[in-house]
Amino acid sequence: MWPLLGSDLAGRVGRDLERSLWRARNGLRYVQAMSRPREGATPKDVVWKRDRAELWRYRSETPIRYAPPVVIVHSLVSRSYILDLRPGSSHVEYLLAQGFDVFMLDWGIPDERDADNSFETYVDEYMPLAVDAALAVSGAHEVTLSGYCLGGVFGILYAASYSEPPVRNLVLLATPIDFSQMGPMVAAVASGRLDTAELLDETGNVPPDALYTGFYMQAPTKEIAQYATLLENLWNDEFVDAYQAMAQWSRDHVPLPGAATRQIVDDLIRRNVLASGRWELGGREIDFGDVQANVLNAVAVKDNVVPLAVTEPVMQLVGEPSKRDELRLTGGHVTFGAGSHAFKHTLPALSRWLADHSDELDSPKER
Amino acid sequence: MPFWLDAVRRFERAIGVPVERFVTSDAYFDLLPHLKRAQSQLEDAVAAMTEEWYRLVNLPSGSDVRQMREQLSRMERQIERLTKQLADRDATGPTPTVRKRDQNG
Repeated sequence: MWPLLGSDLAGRVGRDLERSLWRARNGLRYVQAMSRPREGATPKDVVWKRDRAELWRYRSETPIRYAPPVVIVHSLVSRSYILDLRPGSSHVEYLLAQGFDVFMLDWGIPDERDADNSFETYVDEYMPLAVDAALAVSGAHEVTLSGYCLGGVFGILYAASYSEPPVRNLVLLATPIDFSQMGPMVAAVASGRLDTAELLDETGNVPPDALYTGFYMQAPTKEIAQYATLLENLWNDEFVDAYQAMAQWSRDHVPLPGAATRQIVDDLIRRNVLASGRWELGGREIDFGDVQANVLNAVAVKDNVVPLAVTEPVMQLVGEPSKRDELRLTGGHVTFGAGSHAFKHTLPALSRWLADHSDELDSPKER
Repeated sequence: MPFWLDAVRRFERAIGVPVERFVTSDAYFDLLPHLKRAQSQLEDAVAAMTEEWYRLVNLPSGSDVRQMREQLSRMERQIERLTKQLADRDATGPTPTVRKRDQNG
């Protein structure tokens, strides 16, 4: 028994020693990589560009099995690589592997030249051109628009604005509608305690630091437990890679254009116009009920950035009642792009809905 | 889970719960604008003091750089707007096929 105990002890000491060495190595790698700019994981081509906005088409070895192509419309306040975080852990890669032709409309990093960008700039100027470019390069005559967070609001406004929009399906991922339910920080903006002018810097935009602080202050002590968990798992390459990608994304905000900020504060937060299902934008009234597309409202029940109550009105307001579906997911705001739950439940469910509302090609098409 | 990690997590929750309660309270959001204004005033006071010194040695101060940046931004926006108008007028490539909904829908 003693020799067995001895070998067991030696094994544990050996394992701990080995893990300590891996911890030291990964600790250095972690610190080095935090300052490196991150891009999406999947290879892509820029197929359209205007100002800082770009439309990317992703490459894949898997042939295209479904039409129409999926155009993901990203939010204004975060980086789009949350949906393409790492190889093997990417929303984009998952859809490509299922046989979808995937595009990403990325707004880039706004600077002082974008301070006048309003919702009209995105909905009336960029989106029609980007969708046309997606149609031109894919050879399709319609698209599936998939809007993430504020990108979903752009999707609704675009799909409801035009008499014959080339949108077969409109997928809304954590899309905010009822801003009165957003939580205490938005309530403080609504009540006038936080002033728009005080949020803007000399470029005319809300600086990324202000956005990061806003999110960080929701749970300022959480990092203590997160760093402790990282330390415990620092020997594990897979854990460190995933942690690093997520930690970097959560700090990596982009400036929010000043004109769009004023609309968010005055119209979306203080007047809560989206909750009425109508918004006067660019000289016309947009009625969300005019959306002709099939609508999927994908909501995450543990989302504390866009809580469930904020997204729920989609099911009463957007499109025709017979064409609305809701998908309730048990994850949080990033369940659409990260975490084990995303790949076990969220993306398979999303992909099934997309396949059900797309045409399966007679013969798969090479990209 | 090792004992130390469990202890850290318990500690974090012990302090985190009251902190989160405070940073989502009315009192915090009442205090925040005052703190932000005080911070701006402090920054302005420091800038005003250093400005004098910079000017004495004929160097541009922070506010000079800021003003110049604002002017440049306005100019760049104007140039970009004109460039886009010209590009749209001369465009031979794809143009939007969608039509804006008219008054009658």
